[in-house]
Amino acid sequence: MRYMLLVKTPPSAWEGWEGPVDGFERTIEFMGKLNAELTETGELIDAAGLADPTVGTTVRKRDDRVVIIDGPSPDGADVIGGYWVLDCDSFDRASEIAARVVAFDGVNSPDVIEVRPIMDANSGQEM
Amino acid sequence: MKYMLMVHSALSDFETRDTDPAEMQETFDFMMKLNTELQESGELLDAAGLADPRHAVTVRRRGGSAVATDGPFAEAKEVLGGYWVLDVASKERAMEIASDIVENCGAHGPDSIEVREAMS
Repeated sequence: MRYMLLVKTPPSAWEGWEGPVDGFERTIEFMGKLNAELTETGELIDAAGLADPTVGTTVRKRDDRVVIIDGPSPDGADVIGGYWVLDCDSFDRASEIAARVVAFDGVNSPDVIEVRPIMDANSGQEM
Repeated sequence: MKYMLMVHSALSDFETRDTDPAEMQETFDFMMKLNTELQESGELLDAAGLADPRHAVTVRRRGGSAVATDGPFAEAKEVLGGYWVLDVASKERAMEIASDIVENCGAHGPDSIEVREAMS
């Protein structure tokens, strides 16, 4: 089964970002090691960090017209900072991987991860 | 360039979801056609719909260890409903695809898509 691990990040995390800070290489090393492991077990489908939400754009349908809005959600709610798409045997296994990531207390390392099952492409329940 | 198209759904959508089979089919057909096209152009890396957020688990760090709670992130009014991961030539191309989806995907398609660059 496929699962998505969503990293929840406050929009303020990107403010004043001028490149890696001290200790960030430990986080990179942890992530690199984890992803290499998940590649070896065949569980890793895709993973990435997302760029600053203020350079993102939202495309929205309003009264049957497409409206383009720059930047993150206006209510200041947490945004997605990165993700993993995994193929795991169980929800418990996906949660275990998420727990490993949040338990690692590194610089710019995720504090909160949401674990969500992904719908089967053949179930006919897409979107 | 790698871009992620994120479908934002209101949490309430999952509770009151009306599933008229004909309308669902219209949206489903549009998605299939689009994904086939993106596959042929070599732009589609991955795409999926996420299951009901009420089946989510949120794991957070508390006092140095990971604590799991049931349900999506508590403060969220909107949740991720689905996504596309694309390899496109430009941000404009990613925006074009997002616009096509919100404009043409039918009654059960997404109303709102966030376009974000992904770092590899």
